[in-house]
Amino acid sequence: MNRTSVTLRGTQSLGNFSADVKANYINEKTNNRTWLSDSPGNANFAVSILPPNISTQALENNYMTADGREGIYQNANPFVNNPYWVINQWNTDDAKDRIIGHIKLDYDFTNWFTVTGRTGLDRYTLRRTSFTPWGTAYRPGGDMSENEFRVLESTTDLLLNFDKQLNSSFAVRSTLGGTVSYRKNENVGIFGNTFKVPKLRTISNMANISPIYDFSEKQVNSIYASADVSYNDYLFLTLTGRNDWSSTLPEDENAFFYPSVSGSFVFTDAFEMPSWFSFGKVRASWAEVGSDTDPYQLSLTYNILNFTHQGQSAAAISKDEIPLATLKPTSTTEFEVGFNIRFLEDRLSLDASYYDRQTTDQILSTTVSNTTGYGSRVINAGRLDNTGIELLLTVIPVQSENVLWETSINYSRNKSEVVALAGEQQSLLLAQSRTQNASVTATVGEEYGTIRGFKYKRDGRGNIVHENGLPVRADEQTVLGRGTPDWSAGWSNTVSYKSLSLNALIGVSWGGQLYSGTNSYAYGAGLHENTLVGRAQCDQAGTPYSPCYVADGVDIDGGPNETAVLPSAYYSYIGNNISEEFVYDANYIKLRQLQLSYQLPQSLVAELPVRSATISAIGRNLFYLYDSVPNVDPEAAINRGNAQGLELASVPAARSYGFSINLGF
Amino acid sequence: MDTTNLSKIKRFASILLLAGVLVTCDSISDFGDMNQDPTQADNVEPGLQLTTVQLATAGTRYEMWRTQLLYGENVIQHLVNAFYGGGNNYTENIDWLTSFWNTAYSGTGNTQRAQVKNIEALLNQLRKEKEAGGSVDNQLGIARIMRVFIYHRITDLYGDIPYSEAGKGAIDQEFTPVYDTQQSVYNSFFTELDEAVDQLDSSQPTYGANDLMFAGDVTKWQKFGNSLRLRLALRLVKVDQAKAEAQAVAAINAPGGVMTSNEDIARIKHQNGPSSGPAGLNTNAISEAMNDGGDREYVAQAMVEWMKDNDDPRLAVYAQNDKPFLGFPSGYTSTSVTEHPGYTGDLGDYSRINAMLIDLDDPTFFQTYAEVEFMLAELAVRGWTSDSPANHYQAGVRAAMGYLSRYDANGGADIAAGDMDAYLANNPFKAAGSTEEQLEQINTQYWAAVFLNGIEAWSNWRRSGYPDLEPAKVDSDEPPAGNQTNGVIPRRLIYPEGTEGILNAENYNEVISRQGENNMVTRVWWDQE
Repeated sequence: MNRTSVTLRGTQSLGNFSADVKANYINEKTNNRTWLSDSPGNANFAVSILPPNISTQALENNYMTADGREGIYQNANPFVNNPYWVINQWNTDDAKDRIIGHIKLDYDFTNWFTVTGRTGLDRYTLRRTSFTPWGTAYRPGGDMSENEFRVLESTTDLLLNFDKQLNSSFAVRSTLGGTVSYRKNENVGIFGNTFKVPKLRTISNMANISPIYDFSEKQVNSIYASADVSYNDYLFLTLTGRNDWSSTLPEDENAFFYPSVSGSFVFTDAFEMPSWFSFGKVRASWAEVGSDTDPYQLSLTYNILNFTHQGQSAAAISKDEIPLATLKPTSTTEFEVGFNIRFLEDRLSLDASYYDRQTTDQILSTTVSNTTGYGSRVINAGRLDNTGIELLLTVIPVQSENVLWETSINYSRNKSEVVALAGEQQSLLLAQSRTQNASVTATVGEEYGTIRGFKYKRDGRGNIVHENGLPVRADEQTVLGRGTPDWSAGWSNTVSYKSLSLNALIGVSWGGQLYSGTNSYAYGAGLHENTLVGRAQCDQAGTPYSPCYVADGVDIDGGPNETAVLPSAYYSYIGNNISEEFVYDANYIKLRQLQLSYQLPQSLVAELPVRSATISAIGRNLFYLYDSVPNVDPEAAINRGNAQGLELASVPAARSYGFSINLGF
Repeated sequence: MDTTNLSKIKRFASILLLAGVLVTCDSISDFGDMNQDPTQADNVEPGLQLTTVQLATAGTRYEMWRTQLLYGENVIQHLVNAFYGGGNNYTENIDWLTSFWNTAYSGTGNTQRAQVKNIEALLNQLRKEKEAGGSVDNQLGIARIMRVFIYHRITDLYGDIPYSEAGKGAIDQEFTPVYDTQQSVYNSFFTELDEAVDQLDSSQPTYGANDLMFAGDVTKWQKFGNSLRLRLALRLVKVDQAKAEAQAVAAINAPGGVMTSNEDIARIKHQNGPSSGPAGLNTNAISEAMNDGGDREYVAQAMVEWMKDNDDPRLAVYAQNDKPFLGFPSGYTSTSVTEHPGYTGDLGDYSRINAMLIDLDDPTFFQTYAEVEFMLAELAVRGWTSDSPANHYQAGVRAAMGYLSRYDANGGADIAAGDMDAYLANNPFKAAGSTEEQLEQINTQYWAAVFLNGIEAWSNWRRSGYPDLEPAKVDSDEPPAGNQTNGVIPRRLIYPEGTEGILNAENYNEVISRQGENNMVTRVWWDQE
């Protein structure tokens, strides 16, 4: 990835009038984005199920055949790419031109009443070219697409600001305002398949071409008012109210109002406190927040297919999602209390908060039985509760002229409960593994995001039940874990000696689980360490291809299991059928960051046209100190969003090293 | 900056602010058509929807590869996939087994290939137009026949299925469709086809060229509707002979009768693109699997041997004909076949499918005239008609050989009339045979005639018991480990338990307790032992 950025800014102030104009241009180029999961094009998928007797050197040397096609190993599934073919031949390039502009005009009527008008614009054009190269095993003709995405976002505000010290104790600050925000997405593109001339990568070289055009826009209008009242700078009260109108909601019910109230009290300023108690504040707030959704969720429409057949045009329902004509805005109500206390000239400080959040009418896309004709439906989900605490403790144990040691610990814990879904619905499927053996669900009475799947069937004493020598799975899917952790924490330490400073950041996540599709495939492919059990027995018997492995457990009639099976049959059966085996605690302790910085001495800096200069070496995402998931990254997920808790052929989080020079002017 | 400029800026600023206030107030709650997607239509002509439904029914590479080839054609021993497993060696691959279900109902994320969803939407629209006084009887009748065709494959493959409440998520807000028994689904099929055929009237407006099958020709639609009804009637021979007979006889006597020549064949013509790939609708789905998918399958030993034994001129059309014909033994893989007694030492000696049959623009056949003639022969053998079974048998064989010409415009797949005569002379109808021998002969011909239509071949084999296939040798000691049916030829595909068991749990649990375990050996209602 390559990024260039230029910023221009001009400000002008004349009497009561001031103007601020800013423009920022960014150009970003990215090459070779990777595909995820078991998509062809994810080199990691091929690597994760590669038989150990295939040498990667051979794959590399033979990734292309003499006639320029993908070289796959004998008997390979053509949908599992040669990873070297992917690295060397696949290509997805994009280039983004972005301009962010902003004009702000202020007029001061008096010293306590001002008017601000501002408009901001964020517009970018993203050009993307992607290929499946000619000669790819599963798509011999290849394909390519050219797309241009145009995105425009603008926000225009008008604000009336009042800011007045009423008397020596009371001050009031208030804003009345209105906002119009608008967003537009457009995609113009061409898709083509089958290269006419094998390696010439241009869209006009495609035998079959179809056009692409997408468009969407939405607008939200708002008016709002807020008032901050302060008393002697230690007691604060803030009230806000806001009404939004969204183009994405049903025409006659597109307005929603949401208020908030918050207060804080700096008691160390109000009362005489011992000198070691340097700062103390308590705070409480209650707020309601409303939100809308994406455009076009209210009705079904037909898509005119972008090709003809035998000269005939065709059309089909465009959505895979059942719309909801009576969609309501999402409402979240949150109550939060907290405090911040500091001692000994701030060398010891603690910030703590507790929150209780209720989300009602959450607009969700939820999976439905596809026998309805649709994959999902839009719902206003009944109610989801979240409660949690957040703590931040900072201590400076050593602070002298030359040495500073600062250590801080943050901790957060969240607990959710699905209180109600749409109507009678008891369970939502948020995501499903490609192996179809595990899903992430939201189920009434449970925490949000439970992982469900099949356990082994066991007898009363806990022995695994077998039939024909293979384990039997439980009759129904049960909860096997949860994708989100019980708690997470971070511990940061910074030690400085004179101009030299070392920072280390450790991250911890505890109490969550992960279903690993990679480990499930590794069972099927005989690549998991556990699959060695039984293979050795069979090898010793001298008959590697005869059923000889008798697994521990009972048979279906209750007697001991005595049926021998092939280890390959045994383990691939588990890989395909038993989810319990591949749900792991996703606990980890990780060195997230290590940074060494050196601030150049003033004597040296004085020679340069800068005020300060710092040189740093930094490593991010370095390694796990502890990790409870075998073979894959415990932070992995098949995609972003609701699928937290599922993994398949994950790309490990990138470890990065770098140097930086910071100059202050 | 001088004062003139300053006052200009001031004036400009106040106008801008004022305009801002006015715009905000005026249109604060009114967004006009902003929430209407300008790239989409609210309503479209029924014909445009029928075209999509027909293409979706012909299918896409994704589900047809898995269902027609990896299970259908492999289970029924037309073809062998020697690498992937599945129907060839009786292994359960959940993704493949559920692909037809998922795609037929909802298109698996790709709405244009959803059969049920689009036909239910079309019917819903046509019924509303009829209520409003529109002359849409022909459009309705044709859509009803398409709907029965769509659902009959789903129920034949899976058993009890969501039918009366299916595909209506957006129409009736029905989110958990009940599983109807296959018996009630079949009863509904017969009523639907009866009424639909009666509803067709050549003096009324119809679809025209958007109907890819018959260009809106209602007499051809009557023939197809009745021929389909005949197929469904014969499915019931094991469970309800009386109903099978009554429906079969009603089908051939219904207005328009059944197919009478290869001109009546129900098929979709294809073209090379531009819509191809896993979800592409222009191309022939299984051709694409066998070309672009790289899965050019072997012709099964059972097929090759039967054709060799009978000196069948079709063998050179079905199989690679540039070397001696050698069928691949079902159940074996490319590694385990080296242990087969017939192994020549060279994998390349096995005959793959003839490239002529798998061009991307080759047609997809829904029902052929040959099948109809073989069914008429069976009706005569069973004594349900007084026709000559021999005549129907001969007409069936000629039709089955003759229609192959549609695979190759250059005549490469043509079978000469003399070759047909010679074949019939060598393989005459067993007029003196027992009823069972005659049924075996007729249904074995049926099996050979529906080459590449594994779904139909498998269904007709299950209901008729013919041909008498040897279970594949699946207890191979070599991986991939096969045989999840205890050596029994599979009798059905399996439901997507992972989704249905959660999202439609009550109905799903009910169907499992009624029909039996969700595996490949549980038999569907009409397939009782």
